[in-house]
Amino acid sequence: MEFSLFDKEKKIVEKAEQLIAKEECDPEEIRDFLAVFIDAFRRCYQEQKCLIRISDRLQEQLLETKKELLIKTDQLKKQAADLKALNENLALEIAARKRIEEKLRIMADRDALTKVYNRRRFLEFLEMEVKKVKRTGKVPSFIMLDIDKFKNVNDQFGHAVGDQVLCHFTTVVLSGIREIDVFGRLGGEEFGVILPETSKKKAFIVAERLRSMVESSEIILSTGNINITVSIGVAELEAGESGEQLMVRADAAMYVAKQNGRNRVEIA
Amino acid sequence: MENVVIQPSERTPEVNFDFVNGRLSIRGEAYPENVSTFFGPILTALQMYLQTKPNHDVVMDIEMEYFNSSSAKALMNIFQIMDEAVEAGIRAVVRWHYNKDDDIMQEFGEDFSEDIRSLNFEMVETD
Repeated sequence: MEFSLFDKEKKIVEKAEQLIAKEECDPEEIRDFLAVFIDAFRRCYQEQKCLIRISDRLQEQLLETKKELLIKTDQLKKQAADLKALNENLALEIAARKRIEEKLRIMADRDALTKVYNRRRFLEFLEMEVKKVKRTGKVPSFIMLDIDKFKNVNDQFGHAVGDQVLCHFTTVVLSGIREIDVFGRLGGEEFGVILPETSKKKAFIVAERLRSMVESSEIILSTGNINITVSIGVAELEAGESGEQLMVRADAAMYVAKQNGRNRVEIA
Repeated sequence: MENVVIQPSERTPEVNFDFVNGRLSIRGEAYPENVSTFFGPILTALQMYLQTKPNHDVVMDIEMEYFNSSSAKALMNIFQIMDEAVEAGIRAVVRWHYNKDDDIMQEFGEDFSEDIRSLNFEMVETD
């Protein structure tokens, strides 16, 4: 038989049902049963009272826990919002830092005045280009440029104009070379261009174009416009040669151009 | 009469009925999935034991951390069986243990004691 927590209660109800079903009832028997019934009923409602109290307390506890939980949830939500705001600030800070780092990197690689590559970075590019030849088999050429009589510009118009001339010059050169070509300032008024996978014949054409562009461009000053010219040496990388050696040969060619009257291109 | 020893589980208390020495205890949490399945055999064993009219003192220690409403009814059935046994001449006591910080468990014990006529129901405060 299945056990039930209400076995006792059930039995008394069954007994009552049996008594009612009887055609003739013994009053004595009814009285005795009623005493049992009252006793059981009293116990029953006492138990009920007890259970209701227990139940109420548990419900109260539940309600309290629920309220606490709601407060905690609110706190957590607030914390989450705070954290989100912190995160966003952090993301902004990181982005700002990245921009600064990028700026620093550019500053480290670029000439402060003209913004073209500085000597150090330019020489790194040159070494990379020389190494690349082993893989591609295609040699680069080097163009050495030196602004003619730049000292005179400085002496005559001052250093501010000298700076302006240098910036003008780099703008002109940049507009005359390809994107893959590397342009750098080697010092003073001396500049270099690395032309990857380019023969000296083609490099000469480029150099000649640059020379002509520089000659024909005017630098507009408040005191009157001035013109400049440039002497150029071109060299193609030879077998077993280093970047340094290539540069020295281009430099020598540039000196020949100077000696031959400036505003010229000479090939090494 | 065989002793009843039930190890505690997540939803049921530890039960240790040492009938030889008259030391019975229920300890822990009680919210069994099926109250009748868990408490039925315990109630039957207790009833059979008390019917043997033990002539030693019967001490029942109850130390609950939590119980649900059905388990409360089962506990009341246990107390009723004990109560009736006392009325039949057996010496028995129930000791209701509650932690001094647990007001609710203390009040539950007091509620249960009101339901009892002859059984000695002791409240025992623990640390």
